[in-house]
Amino acid sequence: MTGQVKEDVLARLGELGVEVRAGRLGFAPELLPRSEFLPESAAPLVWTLAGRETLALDPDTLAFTVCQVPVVYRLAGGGDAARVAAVLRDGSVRAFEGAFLDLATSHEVFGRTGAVARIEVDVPVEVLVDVAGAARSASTTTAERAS
Amino acid sequence: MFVASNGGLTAGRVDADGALFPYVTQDRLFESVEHTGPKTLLRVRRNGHAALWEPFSERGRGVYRVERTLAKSVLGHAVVFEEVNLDLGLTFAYEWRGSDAYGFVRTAWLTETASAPCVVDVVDGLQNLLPSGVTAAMQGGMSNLVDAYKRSELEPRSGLGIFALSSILTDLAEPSESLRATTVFALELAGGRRLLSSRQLDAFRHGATPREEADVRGRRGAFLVHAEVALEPGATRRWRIVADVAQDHARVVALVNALAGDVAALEARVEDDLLRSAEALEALVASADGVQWTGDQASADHHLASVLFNVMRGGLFVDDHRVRRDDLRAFVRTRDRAAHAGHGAFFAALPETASYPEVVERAAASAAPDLERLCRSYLPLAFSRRHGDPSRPWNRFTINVRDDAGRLRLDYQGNWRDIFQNWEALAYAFPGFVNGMLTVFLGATTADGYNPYRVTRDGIEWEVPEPGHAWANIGYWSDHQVIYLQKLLETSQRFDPAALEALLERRIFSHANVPYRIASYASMLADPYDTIHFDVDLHRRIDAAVASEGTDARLLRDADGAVVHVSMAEKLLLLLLVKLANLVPEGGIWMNTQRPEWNDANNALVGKGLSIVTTAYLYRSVAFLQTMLAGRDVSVSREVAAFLDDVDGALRAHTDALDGSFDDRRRRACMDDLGAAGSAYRERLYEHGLSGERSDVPGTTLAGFLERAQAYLEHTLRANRRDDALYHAYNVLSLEEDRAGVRHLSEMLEGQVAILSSGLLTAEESLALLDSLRHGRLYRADQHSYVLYPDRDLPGFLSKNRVPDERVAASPLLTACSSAATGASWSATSRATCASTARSATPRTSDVRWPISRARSRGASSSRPTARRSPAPSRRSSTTTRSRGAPARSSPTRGSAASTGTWSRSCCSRCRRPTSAPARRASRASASRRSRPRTSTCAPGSGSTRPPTSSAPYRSTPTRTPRPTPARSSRA
Repeated sequence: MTGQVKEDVLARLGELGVEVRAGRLGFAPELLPRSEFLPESAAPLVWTLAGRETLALDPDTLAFTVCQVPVVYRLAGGGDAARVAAVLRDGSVRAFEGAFLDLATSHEVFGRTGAVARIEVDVPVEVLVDVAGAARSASTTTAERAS
Repeated sequence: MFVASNGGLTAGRVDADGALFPYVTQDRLFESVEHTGPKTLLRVRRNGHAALWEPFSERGRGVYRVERTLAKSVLGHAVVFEEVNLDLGLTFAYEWRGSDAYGFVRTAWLTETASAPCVVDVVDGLQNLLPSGVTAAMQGGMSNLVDAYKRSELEPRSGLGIFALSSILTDLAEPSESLRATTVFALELAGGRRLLSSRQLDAFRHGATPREEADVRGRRGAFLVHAEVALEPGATRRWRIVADVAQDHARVVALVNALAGDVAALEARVEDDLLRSAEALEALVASADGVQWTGDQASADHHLASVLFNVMRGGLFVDDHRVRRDDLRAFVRTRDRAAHAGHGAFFAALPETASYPEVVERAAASAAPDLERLCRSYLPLAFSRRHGDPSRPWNRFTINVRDDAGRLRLDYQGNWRDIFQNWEALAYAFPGFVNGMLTVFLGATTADGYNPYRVTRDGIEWEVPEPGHAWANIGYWSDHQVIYLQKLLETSQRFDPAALEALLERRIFSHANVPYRIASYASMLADPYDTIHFDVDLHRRIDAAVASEGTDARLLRDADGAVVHVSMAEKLLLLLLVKLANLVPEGGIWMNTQRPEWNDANNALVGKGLSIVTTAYLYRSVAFLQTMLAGRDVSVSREVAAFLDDVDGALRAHTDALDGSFDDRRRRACMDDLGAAGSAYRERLYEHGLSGERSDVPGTTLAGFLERAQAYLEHTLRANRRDDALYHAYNVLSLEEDRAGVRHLSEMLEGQVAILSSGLLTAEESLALLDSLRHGRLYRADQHSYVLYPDRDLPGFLSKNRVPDERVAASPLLTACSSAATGASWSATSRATCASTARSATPRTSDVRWPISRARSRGASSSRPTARRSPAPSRRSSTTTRSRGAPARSSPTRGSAASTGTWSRSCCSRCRRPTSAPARRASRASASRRSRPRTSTCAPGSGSTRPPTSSAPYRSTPTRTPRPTPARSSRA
């Protein structure tokens, strides 16, 4: 348990739903609250593998990096799992069925090759954690115990 | 730079011997604020009235209504102190920032806020500047003598302050000139008079106009500028004071010329360098995935701080997965000169820059295990530093991250535990290096199953006993050995399962040859506190070999002198066997290597403590081994195969007890059998080394062994479930004749974390534990977080050292004494008080010192630490820590230091001591019992002994970012 710093880094990955399984990178942001999505658009200067570039972020998106490749979450309606697509440096797009990239694309990301310029993830609002609901149930538990 | 919330500070470059202000313990930093560091005196003239104001000073407290604010940039590279004077209608603020090129830059602002013009006589600058060449030891023990050697000069053409020793302090009869100086200059405060000491400050307070000082001898140096500043309504005047250390004549002359020439250009260059330094820092953090853009700014800021701290200690890879051939070659040469010479062709064939996977692939193809191991263990990390700070003075920090050319040095060093914990998080940003991390980890464990104290780019280092030095102790800490390895293995498997599997049986892993000899089981029972013999002779031989052969002389060799190479599977099995050999059924893993695992707060548990924490992590590890090794026949060293046979035999002999429970005799019998197995293996190893002969362990044998081991571990863990669904963390072993008793201690957070991590509990059981935790004594409602130990009321002085009545009655001598002393005192107290001191080396368990909390406390009203986004923060837009109201309450309290200067992230064992105010008081109170492990760490071959260290910001990151939201603490 020593090392709150590293645990916080790892826990943050968990909050964002970043998963690595059998060599594939995927996203299951089930612990992410709705409030983590940006209320308005933003255009931060981002340090990527290609250098400094501007990342255009719409409202209801958020961004972070994995192996310095920007990952953009976009709130989407419907569905019960995230859908992921990789935008390559040459502009082409690899879209995937589910929440995981394929092995080859994941390998490019993990290898920090720069071939993947951006990862875009559609996150159905339904998968996000209901913070208010969780708080309600927590306080119920407390009340029950108190009584 | 280490700065307290009241402005008291120390700063410098590289280490405490390169200090700008004296490097003293934190309590003294707080007390130093009136005479060390920034000092500002303002004589304000307005409408014919004159008033004196000393912002941030304790002098004149209560004279004005003031508000103080403390702000820190999210990036941690700037800290701003601000004092608003509501009576005078003025605001004074200053900011500390680090510049790679110019050193420490203090920017000050004075702002008129009462809409009435005024003229201010300003005296502003820095006090108690240290000249170059004053070591921490001199500061600590000879500061008065050092003062006599101080010479402060003002270079007349440029106004540069030069602070040097008139000669080097030495007792040798030889000339010794001091040719390095501390320099200070002011920018944007033109025409001011400069003072080189503090002696005119009182006169200024009384209205006098100070005279310029050009040459001051035998006094503490200061650099203060006196200037008259006229302020229009709402106007702000800014100026800068820039200080640096260890300046040679060339640099001093360059500064003189720059100051005497185009000052505006110099100002621009300083400004530019401040921005560039911040940008470079941000780029580093970004490369380790530290920057996020979300709707929850506090979360994003907190993450940035976490990643920054993580890479500050463990280092980071500055060129993606690329490797510079020449640096790889230099690394191999340091490690093993023979390998360097023998593989010339390999290096010649490498391109100047190659990818790490490519280098490893080529090395593997060379079929030379030493080359492959060396290439795999080459981790081009930079930015890492040894930590330590004035709140943890037993660690000596070193921050030496750039080479002479200003490039980041490829180097890392740290305590074993720290390095691997930081690497685990780093692996997610640089997964290509995770198997390299594993190689370094496994190469840093010994053939008897432990790990040395420190890990550096040059190899391993162990603690060396120093006769006569009470704080120099040796031993194996062993904490987190299992879980950190386990986490790295799981990370590796997640990113590339095939690569890990391919490594499993490759015989390219080495053993560290630490010259510690662990006692036989029989001697261990006789004296569990004294179990490690330091083999001085072996240590010296290794030392000598390091000098001639390279640092890999610290690795275990075979009879021919070649490095012994074994497989990862063997290493993993060995580690498990060593732990099992110390298993006390239902009690935990016996901590018998002279160090408490995890934390010196466990010091009292050494020799008698049993770790459920490690038992829980072993459970997770065995489950992993069961899948990794399923169905495999594994080839291991003959000695390890025999060890496995012995341990498995011991486990088999007592499996029937797993159905019910172990009584003290059965427990002792099982413990004896396991202990004997470990003892026999060590005896063979120490006597003959590893023979190099191999034995195959059939898959079925292995599977049976792992299953049995897991059954014992599960049984032990289940037996440690408390009635409240929590689990014990550490137990106490009591040995009597043929019995082994186990006594439980109070609950600890560590045990809950371990059992939750073990994988043993079902979701329902985990939930029950978490629920219980939330309603138990470990929960701290005011911070919505958890403490490491319950806050217990420890016995007061007079309740210690007592002999209970029944024991007195049982002793004829004491009874006789007691009746002889018919007087009041004995009978009246009804308890005897022992005159002699109890064995201090082996305190009773009730004397175990449990720190109260590791959570930080905050000052009374400064409840929110500052979080700011921009690397170049605007002072106005910041969220600030503000204490309002009466002047009497306007300055930061002691406690608030914890949220700025000294806040502990618990980054290593030695940092685990909590920094909350109550805890600090508690630990002060227990100081007499403390045996803090400030052991020397020795790098054989370096010829020097150095105390262990850890990392903390000294230069570019003035303070650590506190956690933005207490609510998130529960994630720990």
